Amino acid sequence: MHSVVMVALLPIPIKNRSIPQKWLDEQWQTNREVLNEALRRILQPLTFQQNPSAESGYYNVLCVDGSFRHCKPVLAAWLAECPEYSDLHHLERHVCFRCECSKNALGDYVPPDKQQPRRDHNQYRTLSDANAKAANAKLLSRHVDRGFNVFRHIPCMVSNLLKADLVHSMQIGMLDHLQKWIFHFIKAHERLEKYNALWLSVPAYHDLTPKTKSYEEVSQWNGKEMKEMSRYLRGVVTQSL
Amino acid sequence: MYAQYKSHDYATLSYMEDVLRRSHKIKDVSLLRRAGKQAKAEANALRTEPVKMQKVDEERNAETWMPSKKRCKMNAWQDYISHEIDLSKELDADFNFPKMHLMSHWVEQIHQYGTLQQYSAERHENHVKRTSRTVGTPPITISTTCRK
Repeated sequence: MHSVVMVALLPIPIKNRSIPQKWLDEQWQTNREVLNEALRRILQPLTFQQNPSAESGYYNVLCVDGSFRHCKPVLAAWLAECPEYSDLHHLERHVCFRCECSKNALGDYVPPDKQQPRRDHNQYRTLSDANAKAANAKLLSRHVDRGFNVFRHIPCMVSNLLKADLVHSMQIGMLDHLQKWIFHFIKAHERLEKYNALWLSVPAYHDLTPKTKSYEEVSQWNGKEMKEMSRYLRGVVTQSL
Repeated sequence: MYAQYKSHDYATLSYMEDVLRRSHKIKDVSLLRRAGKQAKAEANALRTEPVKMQKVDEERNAETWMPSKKRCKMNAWQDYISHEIDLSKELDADFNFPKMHLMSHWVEQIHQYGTLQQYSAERHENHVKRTSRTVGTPPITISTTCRK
């Protein structure tokens, strides 16, 4: 069982693509700092400095009856998109936030028994604090940025808590890519007319909305539409080939 | 589709792993579409040299060639140029983006936390949107401070 409690709504700056890249980078850096500061304040009671016993995983918690007890709160998982995880964890952009896979190997198939080691944020804190040449090189090779990050001060394996976000990673992530690849493949093999005809003929069956536009006529897809599309995509592609 | 299942067992997870392995085997079909902007620009820059060679070839043999032979030669040149461009794009293209890699963690995460559908951000996003509408947009001073 889990529930969602709104803690804070951070202001989102207005997007303006016409401003120079330098300003955009500064803006991005400021956003990252604001987010980290907000999370630092929220998670402060769980950090190492706040509770000396936190090294062992237990906290002295003041309970409602007025006495202190040894408690072990568990930080629950949270959801975010890939770039947001990079900001949260002080990582470089376009890297895996769960394991230490290098940027050049992201597209390769990794069997379950040959996964890269998980990201250990407590180790990153030690390396970042050391501020030595060798430590910085290690951080660089793992695509980690230096500096303060609240998740490096929490006594748990943070990379274990992350969960896959189905909407962003699958429905408007991989399915979107897949759809584009299939579309270009079909176009290259001159089957587009048949594909479009089949696409438009998908009936309003089991909650599917009837199609009024072909794939190329739709300018933007949302999560719900992609979810629906995943149900009939295979049939349409198979029949059009 | 397997990722959207409401419940999983060892069989469905093994199907999921199998599908992932097979999709990685055939992904190179779409390699051409993965070329970045820079790779595309570099590949198109390659066009200039063969086009020059084509013109020289045409001028040299303009009088001796019959129109049909000329057309045939031009088509061959065009095919050669497009083939070279595609080859260059393919050499620079790759599938190294995070979402492609994240799929390899899905089975592991299902083992750890259960089905992926229950953790979809769809519900939370709606919740945030609804709350934002109720609370209203933040005052301009805050957003300006953030921008600065």
